[in-house]
Amino acid sequence: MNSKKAPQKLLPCLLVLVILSGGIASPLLAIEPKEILKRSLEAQFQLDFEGIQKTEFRLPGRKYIITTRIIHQKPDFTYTATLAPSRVKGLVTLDDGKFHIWHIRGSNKFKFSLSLNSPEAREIKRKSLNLRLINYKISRLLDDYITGRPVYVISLFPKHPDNRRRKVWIDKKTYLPLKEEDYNWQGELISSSFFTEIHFDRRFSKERLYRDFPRRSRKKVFSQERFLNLKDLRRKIKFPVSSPHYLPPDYEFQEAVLLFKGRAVKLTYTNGLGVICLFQMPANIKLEGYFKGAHPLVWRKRGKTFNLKGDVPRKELIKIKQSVK
Amino acid sequence: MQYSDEELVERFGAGDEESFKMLVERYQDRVYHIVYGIVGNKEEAEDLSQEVFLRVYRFLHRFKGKSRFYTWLYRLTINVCLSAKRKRKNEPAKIFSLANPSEHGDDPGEIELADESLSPWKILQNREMAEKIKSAINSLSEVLKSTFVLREFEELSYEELARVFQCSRGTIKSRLSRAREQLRRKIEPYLNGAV
Amino acid sequence: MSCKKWKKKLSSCLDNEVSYRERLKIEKHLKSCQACFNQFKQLDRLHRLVQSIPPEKPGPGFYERLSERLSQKKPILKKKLLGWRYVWQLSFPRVGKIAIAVSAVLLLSVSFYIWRSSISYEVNIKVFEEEYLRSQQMNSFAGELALPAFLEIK
Repeated sequence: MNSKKAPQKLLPCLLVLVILSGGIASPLLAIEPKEILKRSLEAQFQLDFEGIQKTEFRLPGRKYIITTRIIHQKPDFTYTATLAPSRVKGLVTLDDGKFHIWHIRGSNKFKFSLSLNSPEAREIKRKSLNLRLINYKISRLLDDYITGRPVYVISLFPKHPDNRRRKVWIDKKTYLPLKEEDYNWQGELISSSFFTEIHFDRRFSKERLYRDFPRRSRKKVFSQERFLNLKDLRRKIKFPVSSPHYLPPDYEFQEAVLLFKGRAVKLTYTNGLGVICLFQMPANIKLEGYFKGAHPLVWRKRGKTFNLKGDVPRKELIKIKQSVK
Repeated sequence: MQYSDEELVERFGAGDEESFKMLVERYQDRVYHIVYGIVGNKEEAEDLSQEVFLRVYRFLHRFKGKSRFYTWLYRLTINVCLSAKRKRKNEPAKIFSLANPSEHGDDPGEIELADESLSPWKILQNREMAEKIKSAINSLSEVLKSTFVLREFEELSYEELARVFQCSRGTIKSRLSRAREQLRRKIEPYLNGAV
Repeated sequence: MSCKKWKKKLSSCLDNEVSYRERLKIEKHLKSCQACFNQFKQLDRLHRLVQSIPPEKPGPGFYERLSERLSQKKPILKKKLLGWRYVWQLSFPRVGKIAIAVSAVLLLSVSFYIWRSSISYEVNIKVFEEEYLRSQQMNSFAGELALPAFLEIK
């Protein structure tokens, strides 16, 4: 009799054990916030989606709200059409992994720049993510919903207080970021971007989307080139390139871009989120569109004109400026 | 496969007539729109637009690609219009055709403002306004008118306008300011309403 | 500065052909001056009304009619002579029929202008603003961060 009862008792015991172990194991199995961020970057290259995205952007004294329809086809094709404000309604952009093209529908205006989806751009994005993982305290906040989809909410808080912060909402199923809020070092919201509508696995005819764009000779108009180190850049450029000897904590070199067929250079530095750009060009090229002498971050030195931009405190920018040699 | 303007010019220079046709088809609407804006009359607009392309055909080899093709083309367009006006200086001035509603009474689509959500009453009101604006534009001096037309219809930048008219940006600035001020005065009652 | 001077700037402000600084100054004035503000609003409305007039289009068969005219004119074309006349007309619409010597002098000055413009190069600081936002976009997923700069440049 005993031998018969034993298995009957064992079953509920086992059940309890299974439930208990599950309860203990689930926090252990829970996905790390850093891993979520990594997956969310890769997700951006591996998904087909279409969505409506709203971006709120604050510049000093002004606020822009832009609504854009975005179509992304893996791995490297992105098409956007601006829906509002009406001033830019006809604006469409296309990124095919080679170029990023802006165009106003029905006009002959268009503009080429470097692709944000090219292999180099991805490499830069991955490096930048790694920096983010090093320079930021990454934590998971309470889960939330965006357009009815469950999302992880991840907070990125800088280890150094002078740097930019971010909160990002990541889709639990696909790992695509559905919302992103950036704050400056003072904690003020500077930009917020979120989907108001999102659909996955939609395929579009690229041909049809290309039709919005004039097929101009790309070689002739394209005047930018990207370098991942200064050595290669210096070999290519006609004037000596200066770089800052001081950078704010956690910042490092990201990339150099040749503009206007080598007439000007942009050097970019990042800590993973924030960006500092130093522009320079020979002084015989006129810089227009600002009030002469009143812009402390535009200056001339040794036959070159410089312009510095970054979202770090003013005193840091001045320090960088003084260190440019 | 679509070619750039510059490529078409090059191909035409090498003897490819098809490229010329492509250029014409690409720009005929814009050139016509500009010419119409300046001369304000359909027959003349057709005739002068053709004259523009005849000259393009003849003189395209002189286009050296130092500026964009369209600034060259628009400059040619403006000159064709202005020299035609000069030729007719002694003829009695033609009445601006659009000021005469009977000419297009059958075709409301033509002067409707580009907003589909308007009520019939508003369409009527807008049609009247469009006519007023067109005749106000037509009353500007030739130089002011052509500068204004290129700016508003083709959205050329001041830099491009300066190239087209071979003058300084400052001149363009003051011409546009004057043109707009004259227009503003002429149609002021229409500019205050909340339509 | 008197209102008359401000009013002269409204048109280029509307076209986004003023510097950022100047724009700020104009906006500041508009906030404090009702008359200028009204005028600016009227100009803006004028612009929008003109924009809303649908473009006139040539009738169908434009190219066919053109090629007919072309085939009539082609044989009598004298390239060089017509060419000079064309340059003359094209460059100096208002000069009229003044001596060719004068036009030659002007031609020289035009070519000097072209030569000069080909060596001097201008960059607007807004392009840097746009490039800066583009760099930020490398660290973000937002669709078009560079758009605000574009709105400013037009």
